Amino acid sequence: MKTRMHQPGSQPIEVPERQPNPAYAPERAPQQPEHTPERTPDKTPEKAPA
Amino acid sequence: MEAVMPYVPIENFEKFLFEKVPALANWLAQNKRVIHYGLFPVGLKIHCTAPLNTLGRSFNYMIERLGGVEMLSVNHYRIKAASFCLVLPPVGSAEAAITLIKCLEHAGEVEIFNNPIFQIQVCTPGRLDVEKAGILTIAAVLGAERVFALPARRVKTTFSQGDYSPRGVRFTIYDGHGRMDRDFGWWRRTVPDKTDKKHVVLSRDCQLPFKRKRTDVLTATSPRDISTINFVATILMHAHMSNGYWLPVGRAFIEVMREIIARHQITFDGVQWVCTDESKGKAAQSARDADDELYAGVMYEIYSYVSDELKRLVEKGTHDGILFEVCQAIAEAMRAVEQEVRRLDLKKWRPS
Repeated sequence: MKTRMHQPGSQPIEVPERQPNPAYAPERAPQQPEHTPERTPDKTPEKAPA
Repeated sequence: MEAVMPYVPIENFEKFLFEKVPALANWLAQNKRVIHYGLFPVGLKIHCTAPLNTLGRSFNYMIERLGGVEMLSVNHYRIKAASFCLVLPPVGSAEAAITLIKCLEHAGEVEIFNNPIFQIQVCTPGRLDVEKAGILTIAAVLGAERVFALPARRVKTTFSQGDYSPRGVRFTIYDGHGRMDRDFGWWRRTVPDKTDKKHVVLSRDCQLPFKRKRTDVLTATSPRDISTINFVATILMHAHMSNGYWLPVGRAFIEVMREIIARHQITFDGVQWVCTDESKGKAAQSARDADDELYAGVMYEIYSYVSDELKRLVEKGTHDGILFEVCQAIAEAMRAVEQEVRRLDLKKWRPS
């Protein structure tokens, strides 16, 4: 999904919305699937933080 | 007039959450006042752009149990485009704040993290000055888990304009003079021997040194964002207060960020990163509107630059540039705090 941003006197640009920050990507990431599965919190087993 | 605390008391949450998510609620009950590493407690406001009645029966039942629609409308503050704003009670740490949201996700059967209809506002005690608010904003935006293009107008709030606590259109804003829950631990640095200023001792107080002041960031969407904003805001505030225990870490972080900002030629000086002027009248409002416009332009510049960076990183596959540098600066400051905590041999502290 793209967000088009405008500023008076300048060309609109397209910036990807909510793109994962590459600085947090694992160094040896496995090959990405085409569609990342959505997380469903209600089906996540309830677990207290360690 | 004494402002009323605009959030639902933690006890109301506990009562309901114990029924729905007992394990998480039990953990939360035990840890809600525990501060981590002397970092500030966390307050959260969850802004939702979807109408309440579209969020399903479980979420609506949860709101009903927490106090109903009246509870949501007590607080006049919200992002203007939001249909409602849920103000959560403050908790001792980012971990507890994240757990509280996870409880709401489970109980309300709605995904809150990384869901574009929710925008999370992270509240930190104390008011940062303009420069530090700018550093916090840049760290929050470039150190976010997901880099996003959020036009400044999307965080226009019901308090952006007007004569009562005008906050401008900013990602980082001050409080609206609301009262604060001060019963959390606070790490202060003291110098016992005035002739030896290098010998610093940790003093642990049971109460925050603020009665009502806060600095909030409106951009969080993930657990990591909450932790990052809480951490960066704390070390900056400790540097700002001059007696915060993490003052040296905060000062070192400011130096690194200044260098990054200058090297990447980000417009910084002269920008009102947080709206500090609360004067009334048309002239003051016009000045604030001009500041808003300059701020929106600078954020546009930053997003344009980040957009180019993202393309470059994909093409070249390198691990460098401003995103990596900002995240590395945050990580280094976190390591410095952890190292000092290990030296102190203290991990968590519960106020008596």
